[in-house]
Amino acid sequence: MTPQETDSQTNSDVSPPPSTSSIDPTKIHHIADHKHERPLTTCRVDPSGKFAFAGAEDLNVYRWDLESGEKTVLAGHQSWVRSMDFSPDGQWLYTAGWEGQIRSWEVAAESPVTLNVIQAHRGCARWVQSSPCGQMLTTCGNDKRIRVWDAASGKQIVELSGHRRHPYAVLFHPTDGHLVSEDLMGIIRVWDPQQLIETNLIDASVMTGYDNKFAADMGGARDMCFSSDGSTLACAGITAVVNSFAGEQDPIVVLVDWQSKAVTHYLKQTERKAGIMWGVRCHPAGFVVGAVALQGGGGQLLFWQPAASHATNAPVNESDQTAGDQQAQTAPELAGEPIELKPYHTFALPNCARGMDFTSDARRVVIAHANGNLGVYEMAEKTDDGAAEPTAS
Amino acid sequence: MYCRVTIRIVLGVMFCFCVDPLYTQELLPLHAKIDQSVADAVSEFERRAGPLTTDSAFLRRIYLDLTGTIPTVTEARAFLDNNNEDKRAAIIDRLLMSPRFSRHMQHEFDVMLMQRRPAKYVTLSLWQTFLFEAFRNNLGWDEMTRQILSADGANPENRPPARFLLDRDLNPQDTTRDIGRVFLGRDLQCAQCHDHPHFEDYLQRHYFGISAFFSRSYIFKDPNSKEASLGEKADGVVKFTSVFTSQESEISPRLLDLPEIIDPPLEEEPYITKPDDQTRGIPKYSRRQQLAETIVKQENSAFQLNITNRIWAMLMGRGLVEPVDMFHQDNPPTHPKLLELLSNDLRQHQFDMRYLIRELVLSHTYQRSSRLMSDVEPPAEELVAGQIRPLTPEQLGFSMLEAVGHIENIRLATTTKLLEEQPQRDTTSVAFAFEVEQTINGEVQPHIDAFVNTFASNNESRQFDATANQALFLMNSPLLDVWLQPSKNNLVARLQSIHDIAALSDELYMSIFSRHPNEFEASAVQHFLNSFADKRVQGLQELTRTLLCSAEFRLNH
Amino acid sequence: MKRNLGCNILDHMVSRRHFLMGATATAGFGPLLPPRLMAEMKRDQKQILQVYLQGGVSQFESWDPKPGTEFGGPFRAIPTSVPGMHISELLPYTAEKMHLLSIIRSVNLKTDDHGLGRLFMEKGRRTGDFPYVGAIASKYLSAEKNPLPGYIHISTRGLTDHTAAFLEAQHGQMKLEGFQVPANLLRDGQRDEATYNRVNDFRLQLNRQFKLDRAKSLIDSYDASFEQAAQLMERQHLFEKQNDYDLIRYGSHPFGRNCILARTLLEEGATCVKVTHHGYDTHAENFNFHLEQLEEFDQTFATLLGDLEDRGMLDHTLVMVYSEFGRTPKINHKYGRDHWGSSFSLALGGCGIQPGATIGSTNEKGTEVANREVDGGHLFHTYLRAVGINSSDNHAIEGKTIPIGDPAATPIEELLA
Repeated sequence: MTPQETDSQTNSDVSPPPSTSSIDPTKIHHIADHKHERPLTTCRVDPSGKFAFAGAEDLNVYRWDLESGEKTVLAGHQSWVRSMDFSPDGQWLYTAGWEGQIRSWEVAAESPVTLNVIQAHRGCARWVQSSPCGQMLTTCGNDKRIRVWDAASGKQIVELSGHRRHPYAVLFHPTDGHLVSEDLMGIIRVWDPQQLIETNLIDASVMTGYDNKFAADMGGARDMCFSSDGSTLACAGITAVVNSFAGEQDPIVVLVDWQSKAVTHYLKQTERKAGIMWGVRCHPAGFVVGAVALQGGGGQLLFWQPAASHATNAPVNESDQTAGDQQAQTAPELAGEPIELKPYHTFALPNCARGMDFTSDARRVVIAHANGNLGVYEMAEKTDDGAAEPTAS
Repeated sequence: MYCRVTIRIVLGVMFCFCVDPLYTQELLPLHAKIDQSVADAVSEFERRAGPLTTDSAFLRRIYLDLTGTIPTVTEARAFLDNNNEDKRAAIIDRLLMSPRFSRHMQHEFDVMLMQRRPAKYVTLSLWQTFLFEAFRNNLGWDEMTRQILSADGANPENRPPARFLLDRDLNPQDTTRDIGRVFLGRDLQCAQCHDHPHFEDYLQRHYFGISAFFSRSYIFKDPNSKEASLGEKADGVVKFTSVFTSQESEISPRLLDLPEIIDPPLEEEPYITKPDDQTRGIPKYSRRQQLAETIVKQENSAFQLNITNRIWAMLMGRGLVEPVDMFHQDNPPTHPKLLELLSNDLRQHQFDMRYLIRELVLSHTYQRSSRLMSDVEPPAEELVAGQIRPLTPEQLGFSMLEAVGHIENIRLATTTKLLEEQPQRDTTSVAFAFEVEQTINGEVQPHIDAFVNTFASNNESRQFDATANQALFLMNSPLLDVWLQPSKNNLVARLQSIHDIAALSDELYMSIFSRHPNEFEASAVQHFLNSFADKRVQGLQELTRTLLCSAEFRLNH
Repeated sequence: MKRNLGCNILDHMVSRRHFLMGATATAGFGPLLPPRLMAEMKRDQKQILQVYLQGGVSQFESWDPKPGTEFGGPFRAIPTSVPGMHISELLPYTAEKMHLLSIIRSVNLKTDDHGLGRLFMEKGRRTGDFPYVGAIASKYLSAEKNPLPGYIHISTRGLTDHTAAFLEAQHGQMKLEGFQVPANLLRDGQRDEATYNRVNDFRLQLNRQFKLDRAKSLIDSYDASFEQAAQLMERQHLFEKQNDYDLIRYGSHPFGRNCILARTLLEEGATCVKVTHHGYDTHAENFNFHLEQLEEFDQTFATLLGDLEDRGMLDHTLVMVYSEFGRTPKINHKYGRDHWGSSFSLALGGCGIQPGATIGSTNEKGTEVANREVDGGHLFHTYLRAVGINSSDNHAIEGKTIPIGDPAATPIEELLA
């Protein structure tokens, strides 16, 4: 695999990042495509905002310089990479491969090579995330274990077992030291890694379905994230399985109120279209973005405002009438059944989304597409010179 | 011998008419044209064709095919004792007007249209009543189709026919495939991904052309009533990509090779009611309505050929095109001219299915015996002998309940009750008969469900898949034990009171097989009963059960 | 070849009852023998175990992995108990048993249709009304006094196939819907053995009379269903609780339980037992579904294969693991693989098969057969030859002769032991 010339349409003369107040998802538009010849599987933008990394349906990880479009190959895995994360200082990249390995790389090295390999799981390593302090990594894999590793030495610190089916994703909570993982059956387990115990079990079985015809289960978290203050957990995946062997089920994001551990919201499409939600991010401005691969081949970006009344059928809680840049709040003690929310904006993507991340200024969305494109989209008014101008707020 | 002579006379008459084809065309009734066409297709037809069935075999067959059940013992005796020459035509006309005909057609068309899907949005009984009433009022197949494909399910009147689309959840694959299969006789499933690899005339554009008719429709759930109905949007296109060529095409609604139906220019306000979360979208121009209007049109010959072939298959045990959803150039009809003739005639009769059914069952082709003339079984497509075929689960259930006298007990009780309520009612009126039969249908439904659960197969194939599970049901199910308990005027109770073995055998055979037993059979009955010595009731029960388990009962012959 | 022509159903019933009486006298001959003793019995009846992976298992994720290539997918290849032979890492338990099996990697059926592919794999012909492998085994391999139906299919779903074609109806498959006791298997107390026999004889007498001058196939098929029901009623113990030792080793999921039942049925003399494992038609999420389905398959199948070996049954039992086709090299946008009959694999082992062989190959990317291309016709000859049926011989049916295997195809000689 050799580095490919980029076919970037990026305007290299990008203006400095404007403030988040000018961010308007309803104005989202396409900025650039960085191309790869194999389908991409996931993507992340490093904390400095300089690089985007993507996994692909081959054995490499790819790095694009978002400004110049230069592409670099990170070779070493023996299988596909479908999850990655950075150390909080932005120096290291950790990648999880389906051969069971976690590899670490120097983010900004000219030609990054594997610095350390952890044989983390028997079977696929499905997920890797750095702890907020950067000293630990957590991973999960097909041996049904959740593990915590010393990031520097690669030594195992903690092993947690309890998931009966494959866990698909695991996260550190940003502040309280807990871990949260979700498996194929939509079972979300909250762990206290120091006490080695499971503290909560959250039922998100709405995110799984048994296909009677084919006698198999499908579900689980395809992406997970916390809001930046850790008050809300967002899990992306599927619901309402009709025929999962043909990809016929609905995409969904499930929101969990972290304090009460209650499922508060089901974030869905305006109009049902079969597919999978492969990405979710909580924006600092309070809205939630979901990235969909549609069964028919296209994609969608969906924008919800869980706390506000943008949604047509969401009841407005008196306690959280503020929207916009306020953090999304929910009042789970008021909510019996989870609230089903429709997006206030839907953006059609030219191809299936398989992963999504924000740029460091949270102004742009980077998407790993199934056609091999790494798409860059900006959530602001389109201007003639390609750069964004602040919009009236 | 009587039958043989008749054939010769008819064929002789036909031969005379053949001198002037035009004259023949005008004068012969449809059923005679059927026989002529069948005879023309086989060399040495007269030598090879079997005789017409005996009266008793005809009686059982016509009851099963027109009413979905065997005759009651009283009806059977009356028919066999009747010496009128035109008694076959007379009973055909009587049965076609009976409530049992509507019920049987309801079952047949329910299976054809819904393939035993569970109810999802539309209550099953509403749908069943819709079908029953459609046949009671002899609704044309074009009108029935129009109602089924245009109903949005939003009001009580059109809710039942909307089941076809609603209970498929408007799933694009199922809906497109089943419209192709059920209404056009073409299973376009494989054409979804690529032009059919084996049938040159099943093209992707056929599949997506049908799919484009309802691609703008969606399931709308009323936020207040929670009831699902069909909404539609005013724009949107259907695209398809071949997995082989990766070429993407856009397509407008189109029925097979008829011209595309181009949307009128989008009006500034294209909606009668605009769709949103609270409101069902109703566009001024509906593509779905175009499907209902176009599919029944004269130029869509696939629609006419399909229903003609399906009715033929229902009565003759085998389609002129077989399988019935495989119309394509490599699978031509066994009798192309006959199918053409029948389907044109059906269209000219406003898709009057009762008319077509009447003509088919009046034909000698239908009435031929299933007994073989020689050791070599003639090819089924030659139509020189009657086809043996298994009873449908519903036919088997109703026939068994009729044979054991369970239904007759309900019939008597219902009649008595209705007369007690209104002594002056005319028990011979059509309305009265319908009321009694509908009460029976309601009461026996749980039993019929048990038969459906055991005997229905998942596919629509007419192949006989006799399974061990079915045999276990027939041999051991406690359900049958209940019916065999002597009660009121049921069969075992009647047999209990008869001590003359000839009379007992006759009652048994007339009740179950609708025919008299021969001497050998009567003595076998006696022999069997004797082996039970003093346990006479048990003997009678086992005797009855054994006859119900026999091939003669299980098959329509 | 042992032919079982002219087997009159009434004679069959008499001998079956005779057998039953004998069995009663010896306090239950079959079921009470411990498995080890069963294994030591001198048996000359050849048998077949078919494990059918319904929907089309991916050759890349099973028998023909291509890790690191364009279409290879995320899974690696692992070594097996046969030096040099690698299979997918999704089959670790089976990998340890590969010295008992052989792989054919060069099947090209030239169809991507479920129905056509299944019929070709079962009948050895692309079209036409021919009997399935299991029906042929039932006819030519079953002992005259076989205590069980010759061809039993355990499947949790109702796929109805017409399997006997022109062979006698009793050779058609009897379907068991899983390991549960079939409904109505148990008779109420009133009817004793003598009554049952009288009833049965009377029914057969009625049917014989009825079919004198009528087309016989439907009536024979109907009689056969009662015959099969009777055989099941006599062997109710087959459906008794499965022991914990087996459940732990096979898995307590339906496929595990169905495989325990399959082993029991083979031990008790069923000629051909087919177990269907559903859920391989992975147009979406091919990799997650293969992880799930093959994890269930792998340990269970390897355990079953090990049990057949331990009990000495592999010498006379042909084992087939097959699908109606494989899956596309191209991975679609749903992480799925679609239908692909042009270059896929299957595994055979046991009776009459060279163990540890790899027949044929695909090209580097797995997009086409590279050498030793075979189709359903060749495979069909191979299955039958492996169990000692001369597949070039003819069926003799009512005076007509019909070639057993397609005369245009030949067996894979180098695979035969």
